[in-house]
Amino acid sequence: MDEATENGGGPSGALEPAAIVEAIRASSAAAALCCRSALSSRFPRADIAALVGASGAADLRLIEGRTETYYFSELSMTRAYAVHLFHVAEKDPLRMVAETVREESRLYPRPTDLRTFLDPPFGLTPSELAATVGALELQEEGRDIAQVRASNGALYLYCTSYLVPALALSLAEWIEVGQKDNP
Amino acid sequence: MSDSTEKREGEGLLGKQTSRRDFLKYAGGGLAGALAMITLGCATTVRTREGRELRVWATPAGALVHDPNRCVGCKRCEVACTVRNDGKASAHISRVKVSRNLNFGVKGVSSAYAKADGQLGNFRIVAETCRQCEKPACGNACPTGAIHADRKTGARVVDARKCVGCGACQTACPWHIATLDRETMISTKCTTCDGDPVCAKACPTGALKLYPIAEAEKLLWGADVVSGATA
Amino acid sequence: MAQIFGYSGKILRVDLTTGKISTDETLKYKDFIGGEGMSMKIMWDEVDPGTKAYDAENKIIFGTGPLCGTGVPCSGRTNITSLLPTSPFNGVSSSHMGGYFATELKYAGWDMIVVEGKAANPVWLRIEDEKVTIEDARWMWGKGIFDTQAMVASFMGKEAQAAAIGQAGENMVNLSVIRTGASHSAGGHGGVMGSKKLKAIGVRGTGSVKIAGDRKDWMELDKFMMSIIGANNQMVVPTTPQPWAEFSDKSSRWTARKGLFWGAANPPVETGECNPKDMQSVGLRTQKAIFDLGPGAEKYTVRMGGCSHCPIRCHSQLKVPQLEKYGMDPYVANTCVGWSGPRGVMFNGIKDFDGHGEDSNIVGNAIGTTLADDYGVWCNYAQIGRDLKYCWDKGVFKRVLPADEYASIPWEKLVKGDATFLIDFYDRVAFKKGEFSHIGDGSAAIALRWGLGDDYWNDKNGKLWTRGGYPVHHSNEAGAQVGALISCFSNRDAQNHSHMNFIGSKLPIKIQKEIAGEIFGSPDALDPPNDYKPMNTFKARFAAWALKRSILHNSLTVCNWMWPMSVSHDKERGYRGDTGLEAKFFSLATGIKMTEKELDEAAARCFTLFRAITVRQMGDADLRAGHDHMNKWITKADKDKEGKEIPQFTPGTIQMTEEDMALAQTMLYREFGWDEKTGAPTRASLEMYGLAGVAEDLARRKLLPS
Ligand code: SF4
Ligand code: SF4
Ligand code: SF4
Repeated sequence: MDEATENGGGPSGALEPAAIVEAIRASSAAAALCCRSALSSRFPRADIAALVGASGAADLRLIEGRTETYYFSELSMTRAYAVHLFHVAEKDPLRMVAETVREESRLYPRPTDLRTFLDPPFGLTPSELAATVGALELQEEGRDIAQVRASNGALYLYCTSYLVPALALSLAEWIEVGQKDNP
Repeated sequence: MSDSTEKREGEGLLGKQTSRRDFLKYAGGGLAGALAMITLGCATTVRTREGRELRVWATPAGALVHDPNRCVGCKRCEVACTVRNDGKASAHISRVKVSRNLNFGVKGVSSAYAKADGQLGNFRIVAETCRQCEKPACGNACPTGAIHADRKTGARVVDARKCVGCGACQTACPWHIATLDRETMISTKCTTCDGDPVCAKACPTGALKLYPIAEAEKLLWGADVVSGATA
Repeated sequence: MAQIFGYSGKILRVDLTTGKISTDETLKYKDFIGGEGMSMKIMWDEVDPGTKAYDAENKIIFGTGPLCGTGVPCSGRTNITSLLPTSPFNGVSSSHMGGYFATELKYAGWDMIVVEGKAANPVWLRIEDEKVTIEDARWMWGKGIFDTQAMVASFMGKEAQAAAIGQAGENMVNLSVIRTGASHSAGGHGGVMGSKKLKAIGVRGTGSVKIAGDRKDWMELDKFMMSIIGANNQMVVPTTPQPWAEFSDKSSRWTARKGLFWGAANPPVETGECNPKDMQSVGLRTQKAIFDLGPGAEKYTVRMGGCSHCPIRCHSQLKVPQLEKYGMDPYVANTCVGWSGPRGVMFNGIKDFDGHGEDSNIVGNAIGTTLADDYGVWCNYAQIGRDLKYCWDKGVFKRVLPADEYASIPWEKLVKGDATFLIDFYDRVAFKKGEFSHIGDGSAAIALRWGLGDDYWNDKNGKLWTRGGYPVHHSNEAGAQVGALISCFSNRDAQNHSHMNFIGSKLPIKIQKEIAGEIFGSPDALDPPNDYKPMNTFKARFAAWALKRSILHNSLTVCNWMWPMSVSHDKERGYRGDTGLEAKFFSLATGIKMTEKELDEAAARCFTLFRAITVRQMGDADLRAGHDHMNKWITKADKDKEGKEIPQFTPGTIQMTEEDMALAQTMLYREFGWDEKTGAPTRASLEMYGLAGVAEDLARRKLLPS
């Protein structure tokens, strides 16, 4: 994010709106979100939110976190990807896993391979993931998240609002076992 | 393998032609007018003080280089080349040569084919491209002067109106890049597509690129002289 | 001769009995498009019912179509049509291979090669542009396919492409292939070449294919196609989330991402994220080795390979140095079932063997593929492994093999997952050694020979689709009744991806259903995966379309493993593809204006002719009962853990019901205008397709439905 904001900083107030827009776009092009706090330290005198709002750049989007605001440009980053990065930035694996699973169960629909969260952009460690899965079973956030195991032992999660257990099981089984026999 | 190439190259160069450096020598000897003509881009015949005829060639802007490591052998480059330049699809007259080395590499089939270059060996695909030679053997061999340096790009191009289909260029080119189209009896060779190569645009892996001539020469005349490989 | 566009205009005819070589005109068959369609016409006209696959009177036709050689993306495939030895009635069938053979044939000036008769001694066919000769193959006979190709090139020059059979084909093993290049094989017809003593066909073409349309229009259309094409099987979603993508799916073949390499390239080549806007990364999208063989295959990957004029590259080309331990060259390539078929023989899986540790599976795959590809053994779409397992599990081998033969087979290796079992296995199969080798006769033949009955055909794990002896291939698990219907018509596994390249795209179901609605008239044409509804007419329309497109593609010839372009990765297009692209390319290439609908109708004509041949060969118009009848495991309800039946058409089961499939078949027959009771073409439908002569012939034989 830092190098992305390199050009355009500096004291000249008139250049700031354009420089901020460019900084956000550059971050997105480099596959990263642009945090408001980083922009603020770069452009200390600017009202970032107001400037972005007034910039007229139709490609810019923001996601509000607990304490941080994240910007991205749809020119080079989809909302879906930005949401993944947002979850990672917020350091809330519980919510990240739950919401990703919910979204996949709703959208595709399909159960989610647990190992997905070990890979980029999620990047949990195996122990973090294990802790998260454990927590999901206990906590309110995970009330609609259930587990299913394919016959080869692979663990999948799904959202009970969108998938019934039999369907989740058969889809997990298909992904893990059936599909390999029917490429 | 570089031995034989250098020899073949040498034959073309030392026989009766001249190099760019030689030319500068002559130019310094009072042939300044020739320089003016070269900058117009055409190949020009000049007479030395000794009365020898020389063809001098404008420097080409760039040449195409193929990366055998990235190439996947799809031959989209070949067909893009002939569709744009000939209005038909072909492999043989393509000015970038993938097909002929595809299965067995530049050297062709041998008893060690299973480990040699090519799809039936180590899978390596070495295409050959036109080097837009400083002193193009193809052009120098052409009896009608049909091959000349393009005004805009300096690429050595065939003037179809002058080409008589004798095939001298094909024989003369050390890599047989210039190729006679047996259907039209006109020679085909790389024009760099006016500096915007369609082969490179059609390539799905970025294995073909047009480089400025100095860079291209370094790549093409690198370690693997025969193949024209970059590696 | 007037200028001909798209087509070369000539068909090469070779009679191996008489040695006569002659030329036929392509365009007299133009109602049948090319490739498979024209081949069906020739088979109908020239091969009498009752002819057997290995008879001299059988013909084998190598076909290309008007788009082959033009550079249309994914247009490098060869269609091969002949009687199929694995079919219990030697039904006509097609096999296909990719590679570079087809375009070379076009550039040599030939659209097709029709081979008939039988040579007295081994021969190979040498085609150098218009010059065609029959050559002595005595020194090639007995060689594997790799050496055979090298021998052909040593005669013809390094530019030549060759299609050849291995020892399996020579020995008329029913399950054998014809193969070209590093890894492209057409399964099922190797023995037919062997029966004709035709070892190989070498071809070298220095000519061209003319394109009728304006070259700028052509290049524009190519550019457009490149902007909507996906990864292998037209999967348009990346495997892992990518900044440019809205969707991802771990089962996708668009495996490219940052940090993924062709690891054995020198230096390694990174696939990168392959943003679809970057045309110079289309060929990097599909890192197929890790998809087919697991993440461990990355470091063995030299590059991806594929066919002429295809930017997708679905074959992985590996360097597996461990192969040298077994006297094999370290370079091995293939794709999909080309890997998993031989591996499937190891029905307990491949475990740690010979100290290969965690790479044992890759080494084992490489051994199997090398053997199958050199001997030229076909896996019958992985059925050979399932047949092996069934016979092992049921004690068939104990029963049918002589005791000493049984004792000589290293079963312990098979059981414990030592892939060197494959060396013994393929040796027996390719050289027809012993009773055991009949496993290579194919499923229908072993059922007869070894007395395998209903239990065999109806075994769910056996996956045999009909008593024709072939297995599922994107059947009921792929689009419910749509896939199930598609599997009922060929005399082998359906090899149909028209539906898969759409429903396997990995797009969310909502988008897919919308697109299905646009193409087939209702979103109900497509059910969500594993959540099926009973049959409806839109599914019938979908299935008919898929069948038509498959024969269309095999006639044009373009790859039905990529085409049709029903979907795209392009959000701005709403992820729509363009199902009219075939017609656009056809019209531009040939100068013969055809709309999408007209081309589909021509395909329906070809498919109906294929159906008529099947009727004539079976000698019975009731194809519903005699040909299309599905094995019982498909229509039997699954049971849950407690042993309770899971009713069909509830979420989580893909089982069909007999009544529903009967209705599905009726609806499909109706789509083609065939008799709804028997599924045979009627006089009216044949006349509608311009096949009045076919109707006459069938009427004379009393094979028209009443
Ligand atoms: S055709 Fe051959 S000789 Fe002529 S410029 Fe190209 S590489 Fe050089
Ligand atoms: S630059 Fe143009 S003329 Fe040269 S090989 Fe490429 S397409 Fe052909
Ligand atoms: S288009 Fe690119 S990848 Fe394909 S053959 Fe040509 S150079 Fe190789």
